[in-house]
Amino acid sequence: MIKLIGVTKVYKTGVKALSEMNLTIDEGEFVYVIGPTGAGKSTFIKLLYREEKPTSGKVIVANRDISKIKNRKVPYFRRNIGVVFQNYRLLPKKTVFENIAFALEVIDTPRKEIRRKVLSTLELVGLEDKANAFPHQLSGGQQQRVAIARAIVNRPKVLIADEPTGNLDPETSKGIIELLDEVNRLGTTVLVVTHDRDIVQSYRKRTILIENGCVTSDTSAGGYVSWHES
Amino acid sequence: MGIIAVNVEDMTYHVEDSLKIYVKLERDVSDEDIVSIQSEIEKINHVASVTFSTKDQELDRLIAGYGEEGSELFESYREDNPLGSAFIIEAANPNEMESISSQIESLVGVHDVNYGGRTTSDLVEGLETVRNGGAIFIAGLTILALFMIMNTIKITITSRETEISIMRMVGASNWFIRIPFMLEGVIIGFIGAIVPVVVLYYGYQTIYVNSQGIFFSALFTLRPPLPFIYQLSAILAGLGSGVGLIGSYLSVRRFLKF
Repeated sequence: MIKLIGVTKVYKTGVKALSEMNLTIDEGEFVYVIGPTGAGKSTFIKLLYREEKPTSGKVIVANRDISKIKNRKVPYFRRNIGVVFQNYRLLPKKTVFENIAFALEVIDTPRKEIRRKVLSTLELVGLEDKANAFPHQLSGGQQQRVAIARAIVNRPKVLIADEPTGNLDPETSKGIIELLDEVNRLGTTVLVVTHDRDIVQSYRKRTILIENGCVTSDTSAGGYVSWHES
Repeated sequence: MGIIAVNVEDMTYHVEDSLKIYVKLERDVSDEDIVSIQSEIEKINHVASVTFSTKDQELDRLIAGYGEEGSELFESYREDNPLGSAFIIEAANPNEMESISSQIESLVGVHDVNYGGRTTSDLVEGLETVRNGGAIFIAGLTILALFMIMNTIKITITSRETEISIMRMVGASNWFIRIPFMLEGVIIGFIGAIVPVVVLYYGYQTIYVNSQGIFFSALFTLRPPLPFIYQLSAILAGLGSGVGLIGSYLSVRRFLKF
């Protein structure tokens, strides 16, 4: 599903974010990506949804070489990928229903289908009674559930969650990880970038450690791997 | 500005049209000399046509020029015509009038050359300057409008940046994002054109009616308001919308770079 072959990324400023990174993630996997700040985690994610292109090497996501996707085809490629951020990125003036429906409206889904899909997704994330609430009326955990709903409503092949629990308390965080696990069981490949030691320890999954722009540890048994802050 | 430009255009052509060189010959020129003078004139560059007018025709013209009193005043000269015959020459290019005149003046048997003098060619030059100046002014205003619309759209885009970034995140195509902003640009441009159209519609008709279609002298007639106003209004509306469309397209383009 995701394959990186000798990927190097050097930004125009001269900063080398990734160097010769190799990684394979299969379809249906649940993977944690951990590592110190500035190790290249963000760049790694940006490559996956083609916000950035690799300087050299190959990045293959959903069977497509992202360097070969033309700029105007990027939106269509992104429909294969759901992304969730630490700060939720919901539209404040739209209701929960509208926020989730938005993801389907912009890809020209028929109205009837939007309604059906949004309602079933709301049920999945456990917010069926909040459909008409506005984001500011929800707790952080609930807002993150809406963001996840928006990311998965069009059934993407890959879900990328960048620090999804970064702003949440431990109890709520557990709920979010359980939801992501549920999404994973429905067949979506899930990638969770996190700093949260407790979560990686208690929900054991394949864990990839990125340090200095390459993978320094990859344990399919899971569990937290400590690193040396540079 | 457009009205002025179009009317000046009309006037210039009107004036240019009436630019003829009037060559009076000496009274005692023989018929053979007339033929040779005509062929000399025809050889001069930029001469479009040469028309010969006999003494009698000249007298007729003089009488006609004085209207009803003409025949009373001048008919008595018919017996012993004091006028010489003349050539009426049309220049192919109004700017060449001066050089043609001076060349004709040097011919033997020519009494006098009259082409309306420097004033006319100054006027033609002046009108041309107004015409060109007007075109530059209109182009300048169009560019100004373009930048103003681009800025307006940029402000709208900035205020909706989160929305755009989310749209891009969930896979909205560039056109899906672009079209609402372009529509907004067209509407702004169109509304911007309505004000000048209203001013034009009432203002020009008023001017036309009050001046009875004449500007300073009968030489400069204004265009009748209909259908001229409608045409110009359509051009203004089209220009406004077009500028809005281009301006908004350029503004959005910067935000959609990957």
